[in-house]
Amino acid sequence: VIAVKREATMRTVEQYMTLAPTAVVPDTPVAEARELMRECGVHHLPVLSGKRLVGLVTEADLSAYEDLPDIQRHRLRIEDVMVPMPLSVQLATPLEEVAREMLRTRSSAAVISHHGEVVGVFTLTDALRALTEVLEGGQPMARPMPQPKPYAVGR
Amino acid sequence: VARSVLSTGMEASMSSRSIAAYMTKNPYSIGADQSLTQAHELMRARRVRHVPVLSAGKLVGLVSQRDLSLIEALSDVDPATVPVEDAMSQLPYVVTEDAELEGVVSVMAAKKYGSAVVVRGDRVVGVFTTTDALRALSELLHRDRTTKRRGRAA
Repeated sequence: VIAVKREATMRTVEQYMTLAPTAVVPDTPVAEARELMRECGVHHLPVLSGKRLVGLVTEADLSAYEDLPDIQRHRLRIEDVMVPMPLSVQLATPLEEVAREMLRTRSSAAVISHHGEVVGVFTLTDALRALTEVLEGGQPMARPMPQPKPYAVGR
Repeated sequence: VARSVLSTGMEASMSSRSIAAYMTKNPYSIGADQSLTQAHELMRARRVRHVPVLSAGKLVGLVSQRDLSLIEALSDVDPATVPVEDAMSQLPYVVTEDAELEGVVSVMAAKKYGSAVVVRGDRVVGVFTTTDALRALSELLHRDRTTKRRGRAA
C-alpha cells in the first residue's frame, strides 16, 4: 500500500506541462506561426510532420528574423527557423529527470509525447510554477488533469 | 549525522533558503547608453537572455532578449544607434539577496516575470531567471528524493 502511495505522489511532467492547443508543420509560413502563438498565448509550438515530431519553434526563434526585408521574410518557413530534434520526453517521465535534461541540453522547453503523439510542452514558465509548488512543501496538486489530447495541426 | 539530516530535510532548510544560493552571481551588465547591437552581442557571446542596465554604477533597468526583439521589430529603429535605455524595462523586479526563494518564485510565477534582479544595497549582485528556477527545481527534487530514500532505509 505504501509503495502504491509513493508511486502516486511522484511528480511527473504530466502534472506541470502546458497542453498547447496547436502545432505547426515544416512549411507553415513564419508569420502564420507568429499569429498562432499570439492567438493561443504561447511562446512555443511543436513542429509535426504527420504525427512525427520534427522540431520546436519558439517566439525568440521567430523574432530573430523580424528585421529581414519583407520580401525575404515572407518566404521563410518554419523549417528554416525551428530547432530540429528538440528535447522530447514521455508523459510519465519524472519531473526531476525532465528538469535535468533541459539543463544538460540548454533547452527552454521539452516536448511531451504519449502513445506516439505529441500532447504538450513543458517550458521554463511551467518549471517556475512547479518550483512554487515544491517550495510550498506540498505533494503534487490533486487537481483534475484534463486528458491530454493530440494536437490538431493548425489550419 | 544530525547535521546532515538537518541540511537535507525539506522543512528544516525551508526557512534558510535565500535567493542568493540559487541566483546567477555577478551577472554581466550593460550601460544605459550602449547600443542595442552591443546588447545583442553581449547576450549572444555570454549566452544570457537578461542583462541589468546600469548608469553610473546604479541599476536603472533590465533588458531582455524579448525587449530587444520587440523594439527591433519597429521598422524605424536602427539597433546600432538606439541606446539600451530605450528598450529596457525601467521597473524590473528587484529583490535583496536575503529574500526567500519561495517568495521570489511565487511573485515571478504570479506576475509572469522572466527574471529578478538581486541587489545588496544599491549594488547588483545577481540575477535569478527561469533557468535558475529550473536548476533550483532539479536540485530540490533530487534532494527530496534522496531524503525520502534515506527515510525508507532507516
